[in-house]
Amino acid sequence: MTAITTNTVPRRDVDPAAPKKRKKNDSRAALGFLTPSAVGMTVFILLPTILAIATSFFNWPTFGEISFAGLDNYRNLFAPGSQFTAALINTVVFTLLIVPINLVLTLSTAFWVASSRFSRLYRVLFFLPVVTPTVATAVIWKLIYQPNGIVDSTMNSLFGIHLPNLLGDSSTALIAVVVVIVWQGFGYNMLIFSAAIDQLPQDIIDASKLDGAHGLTQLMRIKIPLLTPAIFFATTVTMISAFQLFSEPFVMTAGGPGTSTVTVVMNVYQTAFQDGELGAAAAPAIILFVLILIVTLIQWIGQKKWVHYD
Amino acid sequence: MKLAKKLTAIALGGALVLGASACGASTPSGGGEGAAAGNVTLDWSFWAQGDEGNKTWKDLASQVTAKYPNITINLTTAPFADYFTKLQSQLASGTAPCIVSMQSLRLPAFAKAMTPIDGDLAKAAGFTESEWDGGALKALQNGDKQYALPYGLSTMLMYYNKDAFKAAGVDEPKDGWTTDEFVSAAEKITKATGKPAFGQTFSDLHMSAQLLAYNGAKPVSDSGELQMTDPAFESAFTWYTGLATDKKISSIPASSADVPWGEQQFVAGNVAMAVDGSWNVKSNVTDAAGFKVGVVTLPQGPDGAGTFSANSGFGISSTCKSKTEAAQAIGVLTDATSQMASANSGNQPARTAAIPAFIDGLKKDIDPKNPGYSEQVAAVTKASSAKAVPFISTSNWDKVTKLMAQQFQQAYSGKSSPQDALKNVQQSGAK
Repeated sequence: MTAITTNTVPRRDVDPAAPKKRKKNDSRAALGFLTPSAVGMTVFILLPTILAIATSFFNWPTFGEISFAGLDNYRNLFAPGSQFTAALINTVVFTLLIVPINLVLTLSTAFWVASSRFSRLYRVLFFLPVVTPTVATAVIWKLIYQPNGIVDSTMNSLFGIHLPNLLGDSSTALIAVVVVIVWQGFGYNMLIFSAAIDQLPQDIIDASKLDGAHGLTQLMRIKIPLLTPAIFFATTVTMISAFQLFSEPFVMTAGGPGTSTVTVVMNVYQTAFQDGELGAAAAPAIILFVLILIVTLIQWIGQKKWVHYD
Repeated sequence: MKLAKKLTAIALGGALVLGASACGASTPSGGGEGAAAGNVTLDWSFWAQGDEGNKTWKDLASQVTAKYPNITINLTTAPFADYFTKLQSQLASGTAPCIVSMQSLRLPAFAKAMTPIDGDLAKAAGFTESEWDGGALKALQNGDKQYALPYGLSTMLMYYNKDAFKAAGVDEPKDGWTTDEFVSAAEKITKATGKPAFGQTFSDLHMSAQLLAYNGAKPVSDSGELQMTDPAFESAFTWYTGLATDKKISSIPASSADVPWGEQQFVAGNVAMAVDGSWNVKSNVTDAAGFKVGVVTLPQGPDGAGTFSANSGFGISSTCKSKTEAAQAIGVLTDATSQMASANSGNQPARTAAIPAFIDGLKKDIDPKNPGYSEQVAAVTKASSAKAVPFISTSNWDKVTKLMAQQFQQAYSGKSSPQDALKNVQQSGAK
């Protein structure tokens, strides 16, 4: 038996300049990999952001003369007759309802699905609404909700009562839209949590059992803390998409009744493409941008206290 | 690394938010191409006209090439609800078509982006004023300049379900009927069928025309100012909302997104009466869910003032590079032969000479299954046109219509007073 050692392998002469050359080559490769995304970021994100900020300081009609407006577009957001304040409040209310309801439902369903023998089937079924076009689901839900629709007819045949016009009543329209949004977005977070639950380290779970942690204690003290990176990701993404809510209320209620379901992005869209005032539309977009930025930053800073990566 | 993560989050969030806002400059461009070579392709945008209508207009586009072999027309359509939003975006991004279809209500908002058809362009289009209905031409003028040549003239009418009237034992209405007769008929049909007889709507022309017929109220002054809180308009609107809130004879839209509620419910057979335009005289029968359709003038109140007229036509976008060719094409699309073809497919024509073709088309296609309809249409369009006044809109009319749908939902359902709803629209919609 021949012992093979490193000494038996003939060594090449060491070039003192090699690390420097490798470093240079690495830099080139890194530059090559980074350039496409950097160019994409600049063209599709950075430049439009700067342009939108600039636009918000101008009277910029869809067609016609452009003139400098200073802060007028921002002042006008709070003028009598403007829908921005209602839109901002609605957007915050939508976010405060959608994020917790979505997280609690998806996390609990993910635990249930993970323990089921039909987990793959359930994951597919729950994910179907996510890949269904939003406008199509919104139209279908509108038909379900309307007087003599499925919900109303079922209630009438079962209990002999007619429901109020859910989308036509300012006290129920927002909640009715929230239900649709939670239903549609449910599968995405559930899939993330399911994947995270599947990846929970079995040795830690087993060790916790030996230490006497079972049931709720194990869930709250071991499993949930281990899932916090996934929960943090889901919270951030769900919150950003809730702040940008548009399609469902636009299709189902067009912002009404009154201003009960107007959102900031709807306000931006209507000001830009229905009223034809691009500068006035950019101002609420910038305010929403800053709002999301602040809330996201708070989440990033706050995560140190509750997200466990180890 | 952490900083990079934060910056990525900031940039990503910013892009997602700002994606909704529009950034565009009004750079000149045109829908006309290849002018230098003598051959031009002109883009023409139109709202969808249904299968038969779309085919008619495509055939007419080919007539342009037959007359002017150097011109090719590229027709694109969009649903009416999206058409003007799309046109705004096209104008903002410099991709507007050369030939734009324009509705009289939207002209004040779009006139700045269009070229008047006068002087050499009028000559190229072969425009002779005397051949047209004066009202039809006037509705497509802005500041006394003709911005589009009309292909049709529309008045607002009341459509009714003949079978529902018969089943409830109510006599069919006759042209010139009153609002009291209308309410009485609706009450009887509601009682007999157990469901509201009339369909309310958020559609601007439809609702406003009924208020005009009630007491002469108009939502916009003759000088183009929004006047929703005008006492006459308030009074008429209170009567209109009361059809649902007090008398319970009217079906109201399910949500603010259901702008054309009454007219859709009528065709579906869910209500027995609804206001709709004369542009649907044919389709309302062909689409009706298994019942016979009648049409009559709008019910008039003691101070009623007839009905509103509105019309649509074809104009030239200011960014078009081949304006002369566009005018020539519009000349063909609106000439006597084209109007005959359009009238034959159910459009009430703007050229007086084409009116017989309009009625003959209905006689041939509709009368066999809906007897006497062509005769009824001939009488009602004549009576309505005689008393029709052009609908004047504001330059931000799309915004006003959006506000109407949002605010009127509350008033129709009795959740807010009609006065409050009108006040809110006035406050947000007045320029």
